[in-house]
Amino acid sequence: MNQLLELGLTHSPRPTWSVDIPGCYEHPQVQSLYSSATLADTIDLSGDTASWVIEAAKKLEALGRFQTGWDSYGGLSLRSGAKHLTLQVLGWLRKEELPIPAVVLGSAGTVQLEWRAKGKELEVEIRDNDTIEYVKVSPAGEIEEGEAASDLSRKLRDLTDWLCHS
Amino acid sequence: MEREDDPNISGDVILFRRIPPWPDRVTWDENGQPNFSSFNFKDKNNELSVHLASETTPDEVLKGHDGFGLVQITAQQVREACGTGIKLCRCREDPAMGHVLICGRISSGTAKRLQRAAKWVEGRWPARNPPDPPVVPAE
Repeated sequence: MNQLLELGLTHSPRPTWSVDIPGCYEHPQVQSLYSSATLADTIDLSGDTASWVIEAAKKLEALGRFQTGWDSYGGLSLRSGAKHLTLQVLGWLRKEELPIPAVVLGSAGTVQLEWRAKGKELEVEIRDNDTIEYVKVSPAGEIEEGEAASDLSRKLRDLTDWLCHS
Repeated sequence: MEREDDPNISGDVILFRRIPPWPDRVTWDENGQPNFSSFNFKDKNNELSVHLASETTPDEVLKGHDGFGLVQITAQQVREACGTGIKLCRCREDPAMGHVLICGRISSGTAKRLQRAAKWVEGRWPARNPPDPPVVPAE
């Protein structure tokens, strides 16, 4: 519960959240960011919100502290529009049963969510202008890409349905 | 700045690209192998920096970037992944270490193709426990 409040998220009662943060997020300085209360945006997490959504929100919060130049190539810090849209995406998908995604900061301060499941890969770039770009990789290695500027909620559900159910 | 394609960069030329160790530009699989994100192959200005292996060394490219990894890809693989929409251009304002820019828009699909074509430079994985990332101090 406190974690949600610290992330600036609304919530409903849920079981205790796992804070098993994999990989590089174990880094002490990054992990310390999780306890900060800087995420001003709010998403509705009422109902049966999947645990991966919380983990992804924590990762997003950590990305928000990276300074310009963080990637050694002049990479920008997280753009507010990309952060806001990423939170919206998490809200739209909050009931979907998905793996915990990689939450990757881009050179332009945008965010990319990356999932792998059933031999497939789904990557969604969340831009600063309320649009997304995505790429799907089939188990055979075939690559399909596209962009969307409207009806993003439906498009994202279609994409995650392809990842987990088709 | 107008960039010019360098026709002397032949297909077999090897290009280096640094990979940040911080979340989640690299993820580690269950076998302890690092996997670099396709997002490492997009640049905000559509000028993706790489270095010609023939004009530098892995140590030089990684100097001052503790914990970073290094991947390599050939010019031919770049051209095959990106098609005719890109140019391989010498970086005139910062030419050291064979600095080359892959100029042109790299879509998500193209970045994915670059990711699949690239591979780690031997012995140059990123640090699994890297130094502190460049972040704003917590208040």
